[in-house]
Amino acid sequence: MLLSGADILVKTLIEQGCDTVFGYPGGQILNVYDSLYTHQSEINHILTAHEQGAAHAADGYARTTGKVGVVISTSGPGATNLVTGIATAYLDSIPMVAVCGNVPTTQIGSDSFQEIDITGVTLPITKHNYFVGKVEDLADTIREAFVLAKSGRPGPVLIDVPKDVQIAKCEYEPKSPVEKEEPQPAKNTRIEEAAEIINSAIRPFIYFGGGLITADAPEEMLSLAEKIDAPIGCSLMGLSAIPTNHPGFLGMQGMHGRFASSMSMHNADVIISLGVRFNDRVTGNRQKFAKGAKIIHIDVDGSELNKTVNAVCGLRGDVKLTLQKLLPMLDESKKSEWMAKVDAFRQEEENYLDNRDGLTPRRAILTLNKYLGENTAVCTDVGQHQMWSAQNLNFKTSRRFASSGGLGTMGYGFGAAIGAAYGTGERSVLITGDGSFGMNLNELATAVRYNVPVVVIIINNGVLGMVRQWQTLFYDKHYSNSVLERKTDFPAFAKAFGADGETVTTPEELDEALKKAFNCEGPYIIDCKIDKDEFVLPMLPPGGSMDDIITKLEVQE
Amino acid sequence: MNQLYKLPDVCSIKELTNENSLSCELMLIKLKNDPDTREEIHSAAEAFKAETIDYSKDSIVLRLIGNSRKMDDFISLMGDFTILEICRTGTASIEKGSSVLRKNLNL
Repeated sequence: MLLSGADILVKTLIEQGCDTVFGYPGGQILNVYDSLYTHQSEINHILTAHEQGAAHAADGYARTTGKVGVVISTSGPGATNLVTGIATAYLDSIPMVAVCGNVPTTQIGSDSFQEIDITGVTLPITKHNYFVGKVEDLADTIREAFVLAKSGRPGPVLIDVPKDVQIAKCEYEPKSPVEKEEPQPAKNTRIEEAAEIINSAIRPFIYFGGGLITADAPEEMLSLAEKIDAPIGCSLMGLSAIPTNHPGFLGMQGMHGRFASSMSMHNADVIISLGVRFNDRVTGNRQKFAKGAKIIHIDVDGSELNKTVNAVCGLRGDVKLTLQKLLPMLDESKKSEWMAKVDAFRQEEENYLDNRDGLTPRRAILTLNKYLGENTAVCTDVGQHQMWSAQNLNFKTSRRFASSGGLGTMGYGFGAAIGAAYGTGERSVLITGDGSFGMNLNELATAVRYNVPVVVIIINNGVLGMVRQWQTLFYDKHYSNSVLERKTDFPAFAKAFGADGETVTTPEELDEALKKAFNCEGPYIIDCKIDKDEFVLPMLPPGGSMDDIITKLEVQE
Repeated sequence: MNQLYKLPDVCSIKELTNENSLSCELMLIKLKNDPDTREEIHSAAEAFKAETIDYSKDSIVLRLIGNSRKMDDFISLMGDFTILEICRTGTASIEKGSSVLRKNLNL
């Protein structure tokens, strides 16, 4: 059938199984919005307050569903506003398709109103991007973008569609949704090598990341742990893959990782790493990182192998399929001595837990845990609250945690929480800080307008807490521009935007507020006051190793 | 190299070394044509097997083909004269022998 480019674009999105898109209209994307109007019974468009919020919402939607998140914006500023959202998705390997309008091809390159070379701008932060020069290429370009976004190591793909391409007509033939490229296991010889190393391991440790969730392989990983009797740790991106209360799980590892997890990894003789990339926040000083251990590294992206740490055995392949092949080659064994040591680390960890009374960050998260359902998605922003959440949240279901791990985007959370609520079809939670929240709090307007049930918990200490923590430890307490000194009344702000909220100062008040929030139909804001000198502990100083771990700290006035 | 493979437009990558490959680049260099230096430029050009492809009252354009080192040497030699403009292509390489990057090349 003969259709306009705009109709082809919308129909191809629908054809690819996309039922929810996030975005913001504007001059050069009006034709697409006209088509969205016509097709509103088939595809739901969520209008955000800012394109960045839309990009994060598409990201949150993708993280919670495993589907490709779609965001639409106009040209120029609309497109550049997506950039942080696209980069966030890129660094965390989240499948996303971003569609931007652009000025007509006849005006490209003339600095027209709201013209920007967005394919040029996003070149290093997308898996691939396209400038669609003629309408005949449009449908197949979108299909190709979906394949790329979800295949192998997922990532964002951008499609730039000039206005005249949206207007021009051509034949459109519906096709079935594209499949991602067939995942492949690693080479057999490599798997055999890995099996040999694992079978001779005395103190094995399993370390997984976001790649395990992408590959949908938590079950295989748990079978591995059970068979070889190994403790399990993860990176920030791996959180939620398995329930926090799983007996073998020690929690997050890294700069602010849990003590037992980091110690066990440090003392392991074989580290089986699954879908991780050994970021500097994980390794600290690379020379001293897990010195005594042989690293087995399984990742779908071959360029990650031996990138930052050397693996004795690098396996390029799909984590799930590779584990399925590896498992039968392994000997079942019990490692009581090693497990006793791990238990000792756990015992020691108990001593470092913050059990103070009053509204401490840890107590706030623990109080929240009581309200989290099996399907509740928790999103965070970036900073101290993010680490407290990662350390203390009780995860129950995979894909129910969304946090900007790679790029560390303050302002990520609210958009993501809105996207997560659509992705799960349930109430979502945003844990944020007063600094991060200040960056994209405009999205409260979106949550109110669509009546999205988001429980917002602002861990409010009046300072940029993580910056302050570093300034305390490494910059002679020069609190340069990290004290906010704002007079924002968050409950009043919530009311002004048409929502509701309250301030809490004790755990009991927080409990009451959460009760209200989890029964509220729309968004609810809880302004949770904590002390400005709370620390995220333990902490491995940047470039340090386990020998430098800080577990307790007295702040001197 | 693994990072390059991640770019969808990349079909095939092979590292070519001096031992297993042939490479050269092309340079066009425009010099001021001065009666005092004309002779010297010509003899240098001859030694470097550079071809004169344009000749006018005020300028000479030479074309050089060869490895990058030869280009650099020629430029530094011409430093004594007035160079008006240089245009270099960068290196193009191909493997020696019958092995190819990609079989069934459909053009």
